Amino acid sequence: LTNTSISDAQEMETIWTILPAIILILIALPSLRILYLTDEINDPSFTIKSIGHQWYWTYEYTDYGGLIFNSYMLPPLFLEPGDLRLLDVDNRVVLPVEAPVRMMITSQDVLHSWTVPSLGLKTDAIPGRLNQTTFTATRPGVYYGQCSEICGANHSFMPIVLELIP
Amino acid sequence: MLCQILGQAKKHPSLIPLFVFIGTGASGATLYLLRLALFNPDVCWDRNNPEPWNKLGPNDQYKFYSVNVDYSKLKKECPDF
Repeated sequence: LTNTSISDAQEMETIWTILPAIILILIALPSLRILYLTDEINDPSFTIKSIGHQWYWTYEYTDYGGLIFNSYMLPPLFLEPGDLRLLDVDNRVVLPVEAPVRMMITSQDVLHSWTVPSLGLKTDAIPGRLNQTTFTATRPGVYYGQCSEICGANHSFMPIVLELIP
Repeated sequence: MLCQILGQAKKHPSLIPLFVFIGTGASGATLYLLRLALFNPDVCWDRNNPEPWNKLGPNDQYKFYSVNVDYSKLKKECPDF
């Protein structure tokens, strides 16, 4: 199974090493630039703190006054027709559209993760650490997410609901 | 190992670009890891500086590459305490 009849193709070998390497570098450098761009903070309109507990979220709107509330999942017995089981909460996070929002996320006890997949958001809530994420929603509506870091018995029962109003 | 690489390069010169790219990639990865270990404020080595993440300057850049934001020119938004 040795190719004794084909040998010494130095030029071809050199070309098929250098050309793919150059192509990959040309792909990688703009991608890295975009990666660092996504991390930039572009002057948010306001800041909301999101604190994970076992097993609910607390939201603090402290920029203009002091609104602090807890957000528990609606138990199945309390669901109205049309509500989503395991997803709806008693107090939603209400936000305006087209406004850059900064979320400061942390936890009071164990690891949690604040996730809203339809907005491309997932940030871990780590006790003793403040993580930051910014987003600008462009469409009004209700956006659901669920805690994404195992945090105990009711890890699947602490959802996140964003209500974006125009 | 360097002698081995040089020996192989002399015998098969078409392998030189391969060694160059792999060498660049490996050393780049190692250097970035070293930069993270030594300069990232989330990492603590020194008992005399126990919480470097609590002593960040407002106009310092800690990222490797900043596209649009010039940290040295940022205006202060908060009052002095």
